[in-house]
Amino acid sequence: MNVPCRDFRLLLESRLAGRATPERLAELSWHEHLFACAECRALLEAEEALESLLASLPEPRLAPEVRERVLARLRRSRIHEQHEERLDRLLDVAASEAPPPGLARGVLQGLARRVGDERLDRLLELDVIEAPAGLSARALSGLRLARRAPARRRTALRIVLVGAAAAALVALVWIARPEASKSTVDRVDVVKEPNPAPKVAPDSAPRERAATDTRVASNGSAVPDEVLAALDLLENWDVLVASDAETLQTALPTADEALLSEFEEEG
Amino acid sequence: MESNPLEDPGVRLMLAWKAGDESAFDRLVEAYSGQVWALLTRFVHGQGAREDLVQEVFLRVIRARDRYEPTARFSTWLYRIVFNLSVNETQRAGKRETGSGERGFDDGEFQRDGMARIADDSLVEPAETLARGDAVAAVRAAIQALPEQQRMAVILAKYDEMPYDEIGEVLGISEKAVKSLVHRARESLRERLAPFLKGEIA
Repeated sequence: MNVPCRDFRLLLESRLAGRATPERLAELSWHEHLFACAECRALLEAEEALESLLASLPEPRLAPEVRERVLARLRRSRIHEQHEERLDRLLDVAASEAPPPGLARGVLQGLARRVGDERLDRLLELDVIEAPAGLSARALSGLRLARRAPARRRTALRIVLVGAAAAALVALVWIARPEASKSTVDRVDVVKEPNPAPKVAPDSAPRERAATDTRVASNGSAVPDEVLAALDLLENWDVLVASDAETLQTALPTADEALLSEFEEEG
Repeated sequence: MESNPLEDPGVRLMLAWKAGDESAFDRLVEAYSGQVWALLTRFVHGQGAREDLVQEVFLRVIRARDRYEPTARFSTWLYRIVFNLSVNETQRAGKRETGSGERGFDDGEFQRDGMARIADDSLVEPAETLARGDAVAAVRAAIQALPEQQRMAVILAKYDEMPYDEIGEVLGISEKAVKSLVHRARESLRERLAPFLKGEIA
């Protein structure tokens, strides 16, 4: 490309880089180089025509009803985000050395409300979920770790799961104390309905054995089947929800809200 | 960046929202959702996906609230989100479609194989649209056929009148690279739309 051509094309490019319009490009058609160079003249004309063609596309308009729908959905998302933030703050406080009493119970209550499983209600009726301070702190640090995981919705789901499993663990340890077993059995006897068969996940057998071992180890005293069934349900929760994870995730804001209100009542 | 970002109305709204004014976020959406919509329409041109994508763009704004820093005009920052999100979404759509997510290379630049597939049925090959004599459809198809970076660069330069340095910020490349992208994009467009250009000249 010779020097005049290169100079003209640089000029053309600089016009195109600014707010190019077919009119502004047309001003270049009087450039003296074009009287001698048919190639550059053809290029300028093609660029002018291209500008006109590009300008012929209609301006896409966002319909007001679509904007409203987006705004409404974003508002719901923000409320959910606010809950998450509050939950984060709450967990920061809760994981301190002296967590609020009844926190594990609150988590379990939240889960029971969300899931509507009567076995969880019965576990709550046992009134033995008050956590010893050390266990509660460990469970809560587990909760905090779960909160740091990347996928937020997934994380929110895990909070409920880990929390509930922790509560159940606490319950089991509490019930398994020799001095507690009698009163616990008495209370469970009040529950008349037959124990619904727990949804057993494929890999639950070792866990069941572990639970049974705990029962044997605790001085031969019987841990109620109700508790074991509920524990089994909780331990295998991640497997159970796999098929229905999406449904649960979309419903989570409500669960978070339930959790928060429980915490606030307790605190 | 020549002008002070703090004078940008979008930046001000974002900072107000960050500082706790919840209504500022709604005003941001009111003010910028139309632009995001227009950009997505031109860039991905998928009828169904756009509403979800607009929402996803602002969801990312929500999540970025705490770490937001006013280093550029708000629209520059926002368009960067639009670009990254659209490219990811298209790759995902391409993977679903092909089961492999293959990519081709075009002049050293990624040309995602699935790019055209997110588009709706109105996206057809230029040759077919020529037969219909539909210039608007041909222009859309020619733009859609550009590799992603070229396409975004030409759209922002032409329809948003964005200076090259800002386009560079959106795409994460230098001003010089933007210049070269636009140059190549216009070359491709002139080639694909040649029959229409001749008609214009005559």
